[in-house]
Amino acid sequence: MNSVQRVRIEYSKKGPIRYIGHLDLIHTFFRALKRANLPVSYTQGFNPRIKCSFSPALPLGFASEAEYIELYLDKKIDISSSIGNLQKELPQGLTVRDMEKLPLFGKSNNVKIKTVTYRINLQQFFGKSTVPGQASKEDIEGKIRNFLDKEEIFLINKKGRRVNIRPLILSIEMEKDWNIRLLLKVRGGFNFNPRIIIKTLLGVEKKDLAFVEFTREKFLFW
Amino acid sequence: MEKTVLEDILPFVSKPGRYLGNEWNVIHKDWERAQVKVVLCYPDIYELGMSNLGLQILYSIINQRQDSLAERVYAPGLDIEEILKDRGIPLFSLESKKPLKDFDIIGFTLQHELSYTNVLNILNLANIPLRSRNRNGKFPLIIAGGPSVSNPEPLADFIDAFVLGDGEEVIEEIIETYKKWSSRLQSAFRNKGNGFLKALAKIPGVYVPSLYEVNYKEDGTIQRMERKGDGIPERIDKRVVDLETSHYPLAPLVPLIDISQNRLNLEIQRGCPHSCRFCQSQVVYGPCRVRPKKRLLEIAEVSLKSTGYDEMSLTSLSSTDYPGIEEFIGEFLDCFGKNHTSISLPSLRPDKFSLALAIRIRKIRKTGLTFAPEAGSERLRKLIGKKISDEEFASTISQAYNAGWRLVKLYFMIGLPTEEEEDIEAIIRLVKELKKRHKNLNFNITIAPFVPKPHTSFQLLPMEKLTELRRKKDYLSRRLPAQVKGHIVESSFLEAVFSRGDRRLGMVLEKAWEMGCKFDQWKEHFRFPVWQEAFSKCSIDPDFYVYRKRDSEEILPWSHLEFWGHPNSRMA
Repeated sequence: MNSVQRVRIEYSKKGPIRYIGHLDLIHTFFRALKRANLPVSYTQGFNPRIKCSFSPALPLGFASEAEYIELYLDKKIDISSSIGNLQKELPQGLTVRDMEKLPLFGKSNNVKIKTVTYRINLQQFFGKSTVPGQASKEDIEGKIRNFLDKEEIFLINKKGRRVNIRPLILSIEMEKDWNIRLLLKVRGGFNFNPRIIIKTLLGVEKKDLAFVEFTREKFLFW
Repeated sequence: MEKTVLEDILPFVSKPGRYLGNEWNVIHKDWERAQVKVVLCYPDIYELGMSNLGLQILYSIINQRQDSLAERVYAPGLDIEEILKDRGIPLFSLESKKPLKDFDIIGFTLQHELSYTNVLNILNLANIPLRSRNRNGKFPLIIAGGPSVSNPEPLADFIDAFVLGDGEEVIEEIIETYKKWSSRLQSAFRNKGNGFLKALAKIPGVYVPSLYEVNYKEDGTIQRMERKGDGIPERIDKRVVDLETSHYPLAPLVPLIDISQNRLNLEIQRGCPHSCRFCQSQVVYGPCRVRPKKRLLEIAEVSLKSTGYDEMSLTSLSSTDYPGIEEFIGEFLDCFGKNHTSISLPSLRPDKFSLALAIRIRKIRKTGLTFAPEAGSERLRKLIGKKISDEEFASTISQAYNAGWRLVKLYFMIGLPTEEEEDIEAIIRLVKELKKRHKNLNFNITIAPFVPKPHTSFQLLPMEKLTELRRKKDYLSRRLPAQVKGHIVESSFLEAVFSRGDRRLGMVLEKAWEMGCKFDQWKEHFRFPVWQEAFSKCSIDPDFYVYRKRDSEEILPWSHLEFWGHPNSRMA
């Protein structure tokens, strides 16, 4: 059958379900879509799969307010009732924020994303980590300034390659309630894990990052 | 445990998804309102435990009761174990995050002997004394079921009661008995005391090992099993349920992380119509019973909806023997195929009929094809009851090749009774012959040492010597034109000790666990030298249990446990 509609389902990911990784989350969604009985389209071929695309992978442990799925459908659906139907079938922590119709043909958001914003909360970090001393807001701001003053910052990426990430960082700002806001450029779909950036910025060990809360806030098209 | 405590741990463990307890269809019941709280435990990692159908069935049965709740726990990974110990956090259930100690009943499933150290480790992590006699009424009742209960004696000192056979009905009888006694006894002694254990022992299929005393002869064999008191059964018969009416979960748990069998399980048949003489499974799960087709289609319809799975496995020991399996698969595909649901068939017999079915359901790309001829020569196959000729096997393989398979998995056993060099050569000849016919066909071959298991025709026979097994395995690995995977022969040896041994092995088990043994089923964790040391520290000779040919008059550690139903048919 041919798809007659395409929709974007926007959702957030919060709480313990942060610990369900990207691939597992895809399967969790597939099952939820099936339980919700949405008329999803399947790909042709030997092993038909649900025709859709997911927002770029979110690192394990990150919360997000910006995830989405773009889904092809064999039948037109009623948007408002479908939101409810799908929400009923989702595990706790996954919340449908919105569903909107998309043109049937057209590029996926995935290729339009230029920048991702993250909110990084340090409150728990200073409460629980083993980092000695009480940092002040000014300390952090100082560290951010030093960090941004550098022209090159080489970090090791997932594949073990040394990459200069400085050009990827649009801004880092200290905001209220111990939040850092990070704007990170996406280059060729390459999404550098902010955890490594924050680790270097704060100058701490990986284990100390356990209590830093990372939230993906937004995908930007500029 | 407070939920925030878990959240402080999760960032530090690998695969934190294992410990969330947020699976789809998970049941969170009101703790205070349940009279009987059961925690079901699979003593290995989450990915294996969640794939087990038996626990899903029990979980559903117990949670359907108004008066009870069932939660789950699996063997924690080594990383989280260390954190729990460091911070003094007792092992907790996945659903309510309550310590295991707060439950009324802990039910273990014993899928294989190499999981026994994990059972002890879990009790220890839960701050529960290992030995039954060191646990007073403040501790939960500890029960165990599953295939290894065919000879549970090595665990006799640790487990309060074993359950033989199908668990669907007996679990409710245990809960009822527990309820009766927990209200009658003072709270401090709510579940122990001889009266309660005797009441448990009266339930058919329940074996309370502490009510029996084993006396040994000078040569180390059993003199007799003495019952401590009246009204204790001399022989315990395993339970058998009627599959036409027995409970089946309609909303099984769906994991949010990948597990080893990540699909809907539809048990179409229990037991096996074949009687391969080496096979313990057909004894443990028998007699062969089928779940009616109409009921299966109903279950499939409801549970596919409740889970959202797109694949369903028709499970049994030999699914292609389900009467009318062809029509069943046809009907199944008519009903659900258009909804993009596929079927998989485990355990195919190496015959043409089975292969035709495999072709029909078209799982070529997804799953490989696995056959278990078990022995290389026709003579030996005939002896062990695997009745398939070289010719039929070869033509089945040809048919598979023509249907598009390029990789076939084969299982063979070594050290089978009466096995000669010729039979080992026959394995090589068989595979070479198949390779010659089909150059592009590849084989993955698994070589497993034969362990003569309790309640099978071969139970009195010794296992072949380790040195010989090693030699045969190495020889086959070198000579077979295939990818060869061999079981660690030492781990098969240990499996033999614990499946054929008696209560005295409890000491060794505890010693080995103290010395750090756990997850023995896993190659990377199995440490045979430590086990050897544990045996010698306890002055127990493992060879006694493994290499000794037993006399037909000998009282076996499992002689009082009846799995066949007809004592005389045992040696048929």
